[in-house]
Amino acid sequence: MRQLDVKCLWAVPLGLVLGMAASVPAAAGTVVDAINSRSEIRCGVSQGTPGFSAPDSAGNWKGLDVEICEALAVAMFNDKSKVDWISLQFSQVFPALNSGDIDLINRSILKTVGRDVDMGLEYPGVTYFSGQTFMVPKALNVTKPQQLNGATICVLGGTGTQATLNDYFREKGFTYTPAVFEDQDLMYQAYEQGRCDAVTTEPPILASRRSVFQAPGDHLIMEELISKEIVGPIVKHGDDEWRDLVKVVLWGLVALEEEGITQANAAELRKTATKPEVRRMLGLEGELGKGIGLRTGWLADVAEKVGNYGEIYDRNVGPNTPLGLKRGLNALWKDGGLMISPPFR
Amino acid sequence: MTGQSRGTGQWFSTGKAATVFVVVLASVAAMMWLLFDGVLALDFLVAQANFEVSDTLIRFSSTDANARAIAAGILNVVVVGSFASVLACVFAAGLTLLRLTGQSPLVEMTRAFVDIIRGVPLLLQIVALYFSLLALPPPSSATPVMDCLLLTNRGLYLPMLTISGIECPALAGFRVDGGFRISIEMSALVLGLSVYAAAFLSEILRGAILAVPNGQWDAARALGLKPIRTFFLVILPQALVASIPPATSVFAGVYKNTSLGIAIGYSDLMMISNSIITITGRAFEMMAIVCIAFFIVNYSVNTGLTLFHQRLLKRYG
Repeated sequence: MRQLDVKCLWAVPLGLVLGMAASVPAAAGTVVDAINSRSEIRCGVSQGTPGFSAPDSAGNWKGLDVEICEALAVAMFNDKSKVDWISLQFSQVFPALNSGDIDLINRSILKTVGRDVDMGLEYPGVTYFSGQTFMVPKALNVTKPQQLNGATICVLGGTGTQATLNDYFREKGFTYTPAVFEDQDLMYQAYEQGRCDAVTTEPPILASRRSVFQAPGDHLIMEELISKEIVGPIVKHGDDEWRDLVKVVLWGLVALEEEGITQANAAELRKTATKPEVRRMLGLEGELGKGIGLRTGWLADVAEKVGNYGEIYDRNVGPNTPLGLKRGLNALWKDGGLMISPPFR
Repeated sequence: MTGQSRGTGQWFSTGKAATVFVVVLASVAAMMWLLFDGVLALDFLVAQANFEVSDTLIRFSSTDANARAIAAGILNVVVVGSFASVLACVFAAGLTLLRLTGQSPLVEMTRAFVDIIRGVPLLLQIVALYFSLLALPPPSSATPVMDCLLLTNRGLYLPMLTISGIECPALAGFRVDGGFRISIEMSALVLGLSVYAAAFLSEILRGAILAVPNGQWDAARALGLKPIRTFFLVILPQALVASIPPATSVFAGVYKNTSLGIAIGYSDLMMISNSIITITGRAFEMMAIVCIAFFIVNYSVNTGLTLFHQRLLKRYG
């Protein structure tokens, strides 16, 4: 036993050196080159957040975040199946991105200045705007965050959500007992069993989780938000080509909706479009995106195979889904929301 | 560390001590080089943590430094590990005695219990224990046991001894005031770890007792000792001494396995380190700190038990 202990010790310096070698990204080859050579995008999704990223009964990943990755695959390969879904716990996502195990994170991680600037991450765009609030059992007779003084609150460890929760109670001079979890599934199970009085995160995620509760009707998602949050995919800092590619696809999805281009009419418009902006978007004029290696007509393919942002939203989280989320801040700018794309020229 | 181990005879040969020394030196040199090179940085240790920890034994709030959170995590490992180790010894003694009674149904049941505990992964046992504790009533509808003990799904509230007498936990609004609270996460972890270790310890102890030569029984009888006295005065001391070396690895396992607490939301060192990693992005530094911390804890446990064994050998061996 002692002999073994001592022998294993050699692993310590060896591990140090190997660990460093693995965590320092290889200089050669960009993310885009790597994706092209394996013909597959490695998309880091959640462990199952219905509406955003969750496998359906047949094991196929479905959701808003999932369709963003599919749109990327269509833009690059004209085939939305060219995605390798990598399901990760929150604490694993940043190490996985840094080590190159995944090309992008697409699982509802909040944008903060610190993450963008100090942590070597880039947020190429926005998939939804939100804020943070609480879900409580209706039996608790609590409807506003201000009534939660002294409560036990379930929260995911190390998240921006945890920091916001903390800021809120500090600002109000309230006390709370945190019940910090590492695993999302376990946290919501524990909440359902009454381990905490409230659970906190953004309303879309709460709605998503509530939709699979045993008695969704027994739980209230508070209307009042305690923060503003911006959510979108995350890529590693320092690879402009890949970041631009993700960025232009996100813009493209919004621009498609702005111009009323849908899955249904895209094929027709590809032949008949006369408006210059639409012709440029669909690849009938100009070569937008060629600079980062996208082929002519990539956005038209995205429109045909995935659809525009509004369609993706409505299909996965909109009013007619179990999540039933209104567009709100996520409507187009011309409808009073915050979604906007620069002109395609 | 190495100087001390060189003097302790057969368990620490000079060669092994030198190996440990060289490895530690090489690791430190590698770390220093990486730090100096700017690849690693430890400034995050003094930065404000910005997260809360559910279970801490030292006062910790989100405005404290990350280093304090790490200290709280290490303390949690030491306390949960020690608590579980002591409980494991108690359970193991009970299991061993039941096993040695020779009463057929008792022996069979104990054997089955030990086999099941040893055969099912510890992680599953801890998660199962956690879900059973989650099924306890919430504080608002919990009925106090003997007026002074509240078993709820928020935690086990025990009476606490204060200067003015015994203080009983009582419900106050959202929470319970007074008394001493052990969270259900910690309870499940300590219980799971101790029962699991006890199953292994009882087998080690039983083997050691059976391994004491029969001649010892005969000799004691020849001296006029009754069987019970023979067992406790002659057999058990020898068996205990013999079972310490194999038991050492079980105890080391208890401390290492505290990291399974992460699966049930216990704020052990691993969870705290994950929080720090996701907030600061300092994954490599944190993993190194966690490794070093666990190594120091385990090395201390090993060394302590080895020294204890040496002393017993000198006395009885």
